[in-house]
Amino acid sequence: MSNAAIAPAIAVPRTGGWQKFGWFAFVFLIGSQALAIAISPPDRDMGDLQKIMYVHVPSAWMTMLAPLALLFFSLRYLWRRHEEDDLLAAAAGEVAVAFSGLTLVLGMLWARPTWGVWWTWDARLTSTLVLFLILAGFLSVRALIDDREQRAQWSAAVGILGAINVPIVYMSVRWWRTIHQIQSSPATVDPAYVIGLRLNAFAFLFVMIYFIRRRYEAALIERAAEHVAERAALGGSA
Amino acid sequence: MSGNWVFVGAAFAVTWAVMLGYLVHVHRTMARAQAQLDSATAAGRR
Repeated sequence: MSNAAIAPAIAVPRTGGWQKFGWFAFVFLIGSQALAIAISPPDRDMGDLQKIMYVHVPSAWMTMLAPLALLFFSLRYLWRRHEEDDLLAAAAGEVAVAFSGLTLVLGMLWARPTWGVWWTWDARLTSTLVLFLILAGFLSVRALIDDREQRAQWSAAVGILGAINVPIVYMSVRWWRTIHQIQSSPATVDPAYVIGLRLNAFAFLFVMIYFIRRRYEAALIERAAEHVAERAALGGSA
Repeated sequence: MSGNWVFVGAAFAVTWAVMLGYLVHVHRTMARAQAQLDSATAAGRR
């Protein structure tokens, strides 16, 4: 076995600042949810069901943002071939799976009392499900391929495929007018709900950034452990 | 509690279950990796 087969050394980062950021993100999330629930009046049509908007919509936005981070790091890996980019893509992909799964479940919880069904093959729901399945495939590829470079290349390809689906998810409500409403904006949302939605969107964004960073740090430590173990097995210094 | 609040409560509960669940997953992964790193470093010194 040559040294080329040994995992290259990757510096393990200091994490103190990010732990503080994590506390900030979760406290901000609690405050945003409490404020949004407290200040928003029941909607004329949906009543208190409107409050699901404060978790479903930010989660849906993160479902589109996280794959864009995955796209960025995947492309950067294919360009530079730095393993850090592959690990960042892996972290973004895992977080994207969590948010897309959450979005689907929250959508079902909102659909049942408003549409009368848990699920319908609406274009937005179906395209989001396809995105979730591609992202799950991304994690499967990473779990199934042992060779480091092959895993990085193949998963980057699947990650890019998933990200290509994001514009389809976004535009699905305009291209195929079915049951899901079109995108909301401050112009179409009642002013009583805008501040709560904005605060929760930022809270979800902060949590998503924190998750990606911490998952990346965990992957760096895993790689450092592999590197030291391989060095030790070959009789080299750790 | 109206029927609507059951769905609202479920939505917020699921959100926090996923958030905290993922947080625990990341912390466990990090702790396991750190233990592996410490173990491998100690083995390398012997």
